[in-house]
Amino acid sequence: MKRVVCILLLLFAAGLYVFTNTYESLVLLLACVLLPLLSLGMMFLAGRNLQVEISADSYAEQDDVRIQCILTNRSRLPAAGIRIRLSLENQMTGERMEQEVRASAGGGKTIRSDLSVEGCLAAELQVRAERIRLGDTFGLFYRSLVSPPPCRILVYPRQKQVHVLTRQAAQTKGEGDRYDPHRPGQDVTELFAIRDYAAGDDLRSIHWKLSAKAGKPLTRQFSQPVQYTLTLLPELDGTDGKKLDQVLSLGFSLSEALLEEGLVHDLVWYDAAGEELIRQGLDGFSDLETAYGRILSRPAPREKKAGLQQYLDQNRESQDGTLLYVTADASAEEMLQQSGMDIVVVSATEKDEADERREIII
Amino acid sequence: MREEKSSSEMILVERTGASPAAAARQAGFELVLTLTLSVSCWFTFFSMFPDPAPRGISIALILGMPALLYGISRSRLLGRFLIVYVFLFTAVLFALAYDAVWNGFLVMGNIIVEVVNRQWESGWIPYALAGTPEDWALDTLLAQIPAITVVSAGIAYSVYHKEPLAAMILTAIPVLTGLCLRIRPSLPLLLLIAASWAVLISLSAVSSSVSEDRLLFGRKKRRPIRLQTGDRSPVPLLLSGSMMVLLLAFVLIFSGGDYRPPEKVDQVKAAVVNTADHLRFDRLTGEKTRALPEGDLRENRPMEYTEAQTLQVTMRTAQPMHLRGFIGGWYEDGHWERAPEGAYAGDYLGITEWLKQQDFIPWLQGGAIGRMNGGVPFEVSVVNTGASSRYIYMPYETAPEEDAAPDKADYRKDFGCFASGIRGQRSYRFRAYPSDIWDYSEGQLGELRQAVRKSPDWPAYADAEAVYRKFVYETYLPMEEDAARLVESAGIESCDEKSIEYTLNYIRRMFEKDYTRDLQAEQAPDGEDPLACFLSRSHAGNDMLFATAAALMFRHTGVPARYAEGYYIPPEETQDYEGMKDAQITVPDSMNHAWVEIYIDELGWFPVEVVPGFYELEKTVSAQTEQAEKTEETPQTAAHDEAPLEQEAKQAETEGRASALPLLAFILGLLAAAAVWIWVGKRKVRRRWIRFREDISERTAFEIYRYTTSVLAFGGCHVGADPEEATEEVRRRFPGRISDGWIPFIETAQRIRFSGKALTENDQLVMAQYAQSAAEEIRRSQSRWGRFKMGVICRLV
Repeated sequence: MKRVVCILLLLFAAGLYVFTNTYESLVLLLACVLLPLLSLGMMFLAGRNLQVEISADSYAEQDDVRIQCILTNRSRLPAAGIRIRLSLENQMTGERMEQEVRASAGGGKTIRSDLSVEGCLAAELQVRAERIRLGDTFGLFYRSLVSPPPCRILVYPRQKQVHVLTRQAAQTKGEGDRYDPHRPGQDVTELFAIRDYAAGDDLRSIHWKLSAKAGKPLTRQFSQPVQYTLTLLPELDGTDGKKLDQVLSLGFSLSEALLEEGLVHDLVWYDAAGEELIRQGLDGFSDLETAYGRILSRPAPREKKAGLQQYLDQNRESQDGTLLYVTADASAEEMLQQSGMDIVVVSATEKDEADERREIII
Repeated sequence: MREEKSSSEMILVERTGASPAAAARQAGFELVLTLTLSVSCWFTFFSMFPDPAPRGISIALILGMPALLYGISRSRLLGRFLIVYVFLFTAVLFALAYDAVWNGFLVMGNIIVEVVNRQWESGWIPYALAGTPEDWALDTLLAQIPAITVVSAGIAYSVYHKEPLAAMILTAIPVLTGLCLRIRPSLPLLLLIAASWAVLISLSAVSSSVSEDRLLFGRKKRRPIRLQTGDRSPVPLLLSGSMMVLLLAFVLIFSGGDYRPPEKVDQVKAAVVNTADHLRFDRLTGEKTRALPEGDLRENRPMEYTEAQTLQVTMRTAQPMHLRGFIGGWYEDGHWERAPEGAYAGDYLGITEWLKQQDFIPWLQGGAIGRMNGGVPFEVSVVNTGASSRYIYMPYETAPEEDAAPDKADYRKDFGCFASGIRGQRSYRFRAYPSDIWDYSEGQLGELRQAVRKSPDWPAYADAEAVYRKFVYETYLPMEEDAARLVESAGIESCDEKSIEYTLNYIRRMFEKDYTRDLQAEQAPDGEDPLACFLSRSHAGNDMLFATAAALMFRHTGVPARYAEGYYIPPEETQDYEGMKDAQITVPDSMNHAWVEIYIDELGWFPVEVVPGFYELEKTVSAQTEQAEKTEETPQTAAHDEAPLEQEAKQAETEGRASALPLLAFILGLLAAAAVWIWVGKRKVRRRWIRFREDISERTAFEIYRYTTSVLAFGGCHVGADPEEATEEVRRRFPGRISDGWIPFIETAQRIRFSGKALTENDQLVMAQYAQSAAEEIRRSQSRWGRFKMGVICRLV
């Protein structure tokens, strides 16, 4: 548009000069020609020493996502029309937003500016400077600058207050590939604890080397392999970002509450890229963060109840323990009551979200 | 506390903003820019056109209004409805004082007209004003209020919203009004407004816009984020400063007073105008036609007519017609302008409009004469298929009716009838009066003049015509000095103080004798005036050159004349339709023609043919009419007609003399040679006699003897060496005195020759006397030729 206006203005000035052939119209025509040329020269000189950086923290709270824009102008001339097209992409939902950022940087100046992302959902956010252009003052000419590498921000779900009420102790079923954190067992490949020797202990369990160092007999206790029966399945539905965010938030908060209660459990989710159900045991908070790091960086499935369907297919014959199914679909509970399986539906609908404190009975 | 977002839409916002001090600084800068734009805009305008309003109030308006509106713009509540306030304020002002405001605009318009007329003699007509001059200052002030308000609103909006287009357009209008009219503004103010525009644009580039997100074609347009810093951006000042330095350097180096408008620019302008005219008025498709270049002799290239149809003329009564198109009233630098510069300004400001009010349209003067002469107009319709659609091609005798009515056709000043519409007009109907005068005839025109004077409409017509005639004589008689010198070189001075008919005949004879109509004549070399080339060297060219030369020659002899271009329907095209109705004549492009129109007192413009071939053609066809004209000619006219014959006889005599001059010179030379010969012969004879008497010697005596024998031989008596036989011969031939004196002569001669005695003076004297008397005697006896031969050729006596 500006170019069109400028061309029209130039044509008008040229026409005015041609048709009047006066000194004043010549001055006006020269101004119309010289100004853009001057601006163009200034742009080229300034653009040679202009650097743009985009940076952000790797992890961020959902309500505090910040991006820092740093413009370094090493030239002595001002860079008038810096235009950066920033793109932010939610890796789970594929939601993408573009925003143009304009700035000007005086000669020898460095501009640091913080931008915050509002309305951001829990997911891995990729921030990329799609195109950086330096324009002249009039916006008629542009030259492209090299874009910096993209940066990623892992935006964790917003935490909710969840209180877990257990009707019975955590149950295990047979041997599994994990070890009971509370009870020793017979698996000699995994050490549970070392304690002072007590009468009746098997002599083969004495840790001789350590006993020699300690000057007293010490006994090794081995771990107990178990299979926990509490499984948490957040239903990831990539078609509705808002609902997905509610599920992630509730699921994350629930896992955290379970861990706080000492209830180690499995986290199961459906990975749309690999088209498989992924299970990860959560023994502590670090496991929780790791698991959610994996969830948030992968695209969510576009099919509804894909995770539940996969789970039912795999466990229809023999269900291991209780399933905590976190979903934003209000109709899921009725459907699961007919299945006859031990499934607790944790609703993450808008109505439930209104409750500041959730109590979940297992 | 940050509001929790429930929407899934991400929004990027800037966390850091400008400090309050920086914001205040920017507001101050913007206010200064607002005031600068307003001041530079209006003061530049008033530097071109004086401001009749009270100066103090004007300045207060120019400064106060933009400041007020900028302040309103900054208010979040009031600023959103800025345009509404301005509209309401203007509407209320107009409603309350519509007459005064409108009169104020007309006063400003008249000031512009006055300046343009004074500077460029443009001849613009001022508007009629209401009230007295005392009221005009107040009216102008009232008119300035809405104008300044609207411009100020545009400035305030652009500065605050960082969208420069509105302010640039609104502030450019007053400035460009003057520049387009070639009025010189104050150059520093012009530079100031250019710098202000640059600052405004720079500001929009480096400062954040406060505009809300807009819906553009139903799509929400996200407003860009402007990264704010506490630092002031140097870009506006740097750019405007650099530009000011550059332009000031230009102004100082190339002073405006020394500016000479380059000819190349004028050539570009002409090319642009021609291209626009070509696109507007020429037929862009179909068969190509050729046309004369509207009086521009510099573009006068060899004409290759395609004979394609240009006009289809249907007339109820067939008669020859000059269909006028382009009219040239001023010749300069090889081309015709429609009228001299400033012709319609000064004392003649508004003359054509006044004449129109008197029902006198110069272009339709022939029609008015036809009506007063009692003629019955006949219908003519023209379909323009290949000619320029700019003109309404009409004959001189057109009546102001149908498409030729003044409210339909565009009669521009007195030099043309132009078609309305952006693409012109290609079909029109009008009515024309019949005419019997095909060629200039003072007798016929005199009769016509007497006839129309009897019309009841004559007094009103005569009053208006007298005014127009004065204008015509002051406008269409002067000519450029170079052009005057050119026609003087063709000998037109001999027609000074002579009648129009005499001048016309003189020009026609000169062209017919010494010049050739050549449509293929080459263009004049670059830099040479085409007319000069035609008159002094080539003596060949097309109709344009003949018409141009003749128009200037008429002017030189005191006859107002113009160059006319259009289409000519000759008599041989119409004579086949005599007595028939609805003659349909196809006019090919080869009928494109140029002629001269001269102003005949009281009767108006009249076409005269000067191109060789055209008037001869008319004479052949209308021989009877011409014969009748001759019999009715007044003695004065006849006398005028004889003058050229006498002149021709004298000229032939002069030419005869000129051709006999070499012979005469030859004869004179011969006569002179003969005179010299005779003079030398007489002198020789005289000296001979003196020598015979005074130079006493045998040699002279023998010479006397030889002379005497020669004289006798001339008389038919050839004497030999024998003295006796010689004596017998002399006696027989000359029985008188010659034979008597022969014996003493021969004895003396024999004695001198053979006796050896010394020659005496007496002897030689006897011999000499005899020789002389014998010569005289024989001469007398000769005929006239014999005497001539004896005296001149043989030099004996």
